[in-house]
Amino acid sequence: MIAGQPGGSEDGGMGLLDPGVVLGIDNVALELPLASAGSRALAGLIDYLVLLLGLSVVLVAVALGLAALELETGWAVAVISILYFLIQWLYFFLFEWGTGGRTPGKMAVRLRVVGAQGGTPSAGALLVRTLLRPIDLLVGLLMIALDERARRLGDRLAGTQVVHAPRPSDAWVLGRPPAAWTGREIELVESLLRRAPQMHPDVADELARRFIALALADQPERALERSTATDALSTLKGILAAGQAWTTVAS
Amino acid sequence: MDYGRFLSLRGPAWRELEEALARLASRRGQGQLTYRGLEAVAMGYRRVLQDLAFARSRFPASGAAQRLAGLALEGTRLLLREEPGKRVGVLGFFLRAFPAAVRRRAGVVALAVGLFLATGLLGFVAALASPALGMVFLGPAAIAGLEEGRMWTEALTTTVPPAVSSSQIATNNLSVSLFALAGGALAGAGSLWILFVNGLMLGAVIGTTLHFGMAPHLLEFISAHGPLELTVIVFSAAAGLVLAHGLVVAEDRPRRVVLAEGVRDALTIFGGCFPWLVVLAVVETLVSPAPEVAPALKLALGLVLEGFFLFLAFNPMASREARGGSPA
Repeated sequence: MIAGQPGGSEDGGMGLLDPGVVLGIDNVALELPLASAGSRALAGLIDYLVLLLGLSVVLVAVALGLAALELETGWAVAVISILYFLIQWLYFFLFEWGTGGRTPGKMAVRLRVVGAQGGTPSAGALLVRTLLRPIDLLVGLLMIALDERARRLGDRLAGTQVVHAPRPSDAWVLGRPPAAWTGREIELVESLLRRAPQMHPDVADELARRFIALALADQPERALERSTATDALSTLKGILAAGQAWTTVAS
Repeated sequence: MDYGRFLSLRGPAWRELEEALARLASRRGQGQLTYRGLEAVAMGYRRVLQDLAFARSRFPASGAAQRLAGLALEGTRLLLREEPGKRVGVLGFFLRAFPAAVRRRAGVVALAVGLFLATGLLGFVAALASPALGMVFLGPAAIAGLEEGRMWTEALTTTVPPAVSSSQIATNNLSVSLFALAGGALAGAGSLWILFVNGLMLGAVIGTTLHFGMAPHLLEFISAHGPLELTVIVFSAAAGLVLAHGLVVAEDRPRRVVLAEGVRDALTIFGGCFPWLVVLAVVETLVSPAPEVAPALKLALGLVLEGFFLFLAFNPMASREARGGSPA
């Protein structure tokens, strides 16, 4: 939307920043969650399967359509070969251009193409990385593995990189932590709530009880809220007004 | 400021920005955005960056810091459009940007032309010395035809309908040109390969047909489309070599600057060649093999097409500094 550079910049290629870190407005560092070779290979595999399937479906549909129109065989073959060529070359470009840097494979693995500063890449940049894809089928994976910003050749020449799309719902936020708590306690509880689904229920329950005791020691007036919840984790969430959306932040 | 107060004070603004960015992410939302609305989003984004800096220093691994980082990244993606590429319009592209890029890279274009001519001469001399070389490129059926005084090009319209051969020629030429461009990314090896193979093939084919006394027929066949087709392929390879130059030779400037210039010029040169490949496919199928079109007319068409392309490529009225860009 805002063309040019509203403030974001790299370090001018001087290597002062860590790979994947760009400077935003007021020099606030932004860490781009760079996608590794594994997730990109998986996205690529999905894309080529979709492309193969799509090509087959489109070509069969066109062939049937042309047959129904009773066109000469020559014209039918001409239309099909041109369509085949266009789909094969334009699949990646059109998807990435039309969906803000995503293809079906990238959507499935939650990846996105962004510019060198984390912004939306230009159509020209997306075209360059598409044109170089045949070369990258040979050397791309190796380059991703060796490059500190996990860029394939097409990315290097186009000035793009592939990042993981953010998952806002992953992070829990305590809306009402006790005033005496430092960042450390807050982080521990938020980390517990984030990891609880993957933990053994008994361990998660035990940890939640300890934090409830700690929270109530600092804020005894919230003891009443214990009775409304059925398990320790829910009680902890209630006492600390924990939520996965800003709307749950208590005022 | 403690964590709870930080969230309660700043949370509404974050929520507002989150909703605005979600609207901005959809094309419909973009259409409804007013200037004032955009200004508000930009201000909200800036405040989120400041809040992120604060959260990182006071509550570094907290959920708020993580979520603010995600919000800042999404805001950066949606609000920052990188190197938007100046839209010059189709006419401006062909009249100014394309010739300017060719003139800036005249040395590389000359190198590509020189390599092509050198390998062509090599193929020609080799085919004259050893006519068996023609077999490698043309195959035994075409050679047998030549021995009987028939050109293999007749098959273009007699064995398959023109629509098929023109689409196949178009896609084949496009593939060769695309590879000539993209092959520059292999430090120029792919582009050089295209120049070498095409030059050698052309020279060898001319030499072989000369050996069988069929060279006039071949020259008649290629006179309408050949000059421009070969020029376009050589220019595409030159575009690949421009790409390779940016990749390999940085001199005393930052490599990413040199690389960006190389990519821009390579794409501009290739963009100037691309549309001609479609025109050529039609000429090669409908005009070149047609016996009813007089040889002089074919030659005239070939010269006009070539002359027009070269005029566009070396347009003396275009400034060397004209910026490259994609046609709007």
